[in-house]
Amino acid sequence: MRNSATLLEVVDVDVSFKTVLGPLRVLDKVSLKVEQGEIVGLVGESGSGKSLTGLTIMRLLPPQAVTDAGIIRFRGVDLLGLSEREMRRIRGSGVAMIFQGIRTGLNPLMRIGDQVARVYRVQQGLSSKDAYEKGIESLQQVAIPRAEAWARAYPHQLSGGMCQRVLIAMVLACKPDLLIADEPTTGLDVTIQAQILELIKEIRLKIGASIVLITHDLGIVAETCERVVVIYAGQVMETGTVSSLFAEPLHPYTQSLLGSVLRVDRAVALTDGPGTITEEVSFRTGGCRFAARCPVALPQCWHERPLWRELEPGHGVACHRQV
Amino acid sequence: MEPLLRIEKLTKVFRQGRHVLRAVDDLSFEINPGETVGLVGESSCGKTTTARCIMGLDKPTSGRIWFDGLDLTALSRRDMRRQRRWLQMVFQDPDASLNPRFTVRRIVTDPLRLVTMEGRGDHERRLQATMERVGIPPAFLSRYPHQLSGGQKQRVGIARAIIINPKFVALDEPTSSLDMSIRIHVLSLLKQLQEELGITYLLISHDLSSVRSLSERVLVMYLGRLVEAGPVEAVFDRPYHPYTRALMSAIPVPEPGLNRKRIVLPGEPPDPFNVPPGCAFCERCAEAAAYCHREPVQLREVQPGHLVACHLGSE
Repeated sequence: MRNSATLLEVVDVDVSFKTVLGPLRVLDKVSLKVEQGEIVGLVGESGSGKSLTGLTIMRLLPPQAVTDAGIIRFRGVDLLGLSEREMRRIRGSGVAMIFQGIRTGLNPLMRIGDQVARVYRVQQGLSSKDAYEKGIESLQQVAIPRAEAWARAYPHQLSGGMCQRVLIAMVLACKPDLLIADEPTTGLDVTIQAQILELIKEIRLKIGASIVLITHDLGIVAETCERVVVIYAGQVMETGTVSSLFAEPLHPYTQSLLGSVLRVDRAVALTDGPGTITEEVSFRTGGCRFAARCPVALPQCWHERPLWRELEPGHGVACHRQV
Repeated sequence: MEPLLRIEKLTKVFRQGRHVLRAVDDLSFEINPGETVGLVGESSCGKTTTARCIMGLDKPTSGRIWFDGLDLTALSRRDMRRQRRWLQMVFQDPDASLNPRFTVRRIVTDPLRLVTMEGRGDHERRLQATMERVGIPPAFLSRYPHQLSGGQKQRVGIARAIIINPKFVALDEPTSSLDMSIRIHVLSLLKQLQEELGITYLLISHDLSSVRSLSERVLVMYLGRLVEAGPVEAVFDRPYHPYTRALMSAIPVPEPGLNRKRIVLPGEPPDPFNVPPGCAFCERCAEAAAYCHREPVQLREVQPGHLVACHLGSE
């Protein structure tokens, strides 16, 4: 895997929100790599900056967010240096994204056949008729039964699982090199989630795309991804192959995540008591943002950002405890 | 031991014009005092409707609900109101169930105004004790729901349910709106409350991992019907019904390299307005025989306490 070409390289990207209290750094020197053909899990809690990382790569940040620094190298080109017009050519055929919230990605006023066809028209320049036929074909590919009939339906008539299939059909139409899938199974039932995860793995085989899978479910990461990036409050805490990171988590945050995970195949002891309320996250600190919740924090953790250390090839961590 | 709650042939039918939806169909089960029973299944399988019938929020079409020796379905509205203090519910979506214009203090103390006849000082003491139990510092009492995190909101919902000392609490997806790392804290809290206060729980969830850790027994529903029921270990480790097997295998386990065999079910649950006459699961079942499509299934006991509604393996 290390010899294969790096498709995407995000280097020290800073993103801030403009607020009345001054800029708030929501992504703090985020770095990650995606190699050709791999599935990378991007894990973290709500508000950790997972989706924001995806939007930053797509250059689709909301107006109040500013990318202050960093490089996003995709196929050798820095996306942050492109004009909006050049970026548009990358979106879709270069990098495509499935956004969070199953129905938000579909236009509620358009029949789904027309929506998929539009992707073919715009991305591949097909005529309306050809695009529609191709659209039906890709709906069949994502196992929508009676695709021709369903193509005339509106999104509200579809179940959540079917909406997600339509979005995946649109991705197939784009044939992107990189797909960013933001919580693609959240809100779906588990048997439907299993179907969608299989479909996402199929995308890689069918069109050879690399995938960044944004999720908070470590079970999905373990069963779907090859590598994983753990993010907390806008800082990357640890990255590694799924097998090394799950076997030997180095960062206290990763350790706590893996330690608190519930499993279906065995009962987990519930001995924690009421617990303390440390869900609030401080974004305004010069040090490690996990320090406030860290059971083994050192004095320097509060004001000094730990350096990134690669303890084994491919398994890196940002923690003062790991020297 | 006399069960605290006994559901007998509960059926709830919703009508929409000529169409009939059997949201809960001939459901029977018992919950013993101090026990946690998990009720699992996918969206629209009737989990929440079952809880709403028990709470008296929906009126059952037929069937009986025995609580502590009383038939709740036979009570007048007034008598039901009196009984309801023993039955409380924690709702699925804290954003919808906590009044955004009320402070935490108001939200949690409101039930006290409705049921007990104690003085103000007692209310205050009770409030303090409850908040300490659920792990919310007193400084939060003057906050509004939007100033709380997801886990804190759910703790407030739990505080409101337990402040009047109920015997039974229906937990409707108490952790599904929460991050994975917060879920275990809320489940631990629920477990501790049960040990201290002896509350009996019905835990409704599609998150089977939560159910595994908190419940002693589990009920699996599909399209309004019970398909499997039994002790947690038996149902999770040796699931009998093809639906339960698929459900268990569909949940990813956070351990790389386990190589579990995942059963991916084809299609989606059938239209609940138009359930097949035989086994409701037959259309997605890989093992279904011709008679599965025709003959209704009955629950039968495959092991002591382990019930299954499946034609396969029956004589």
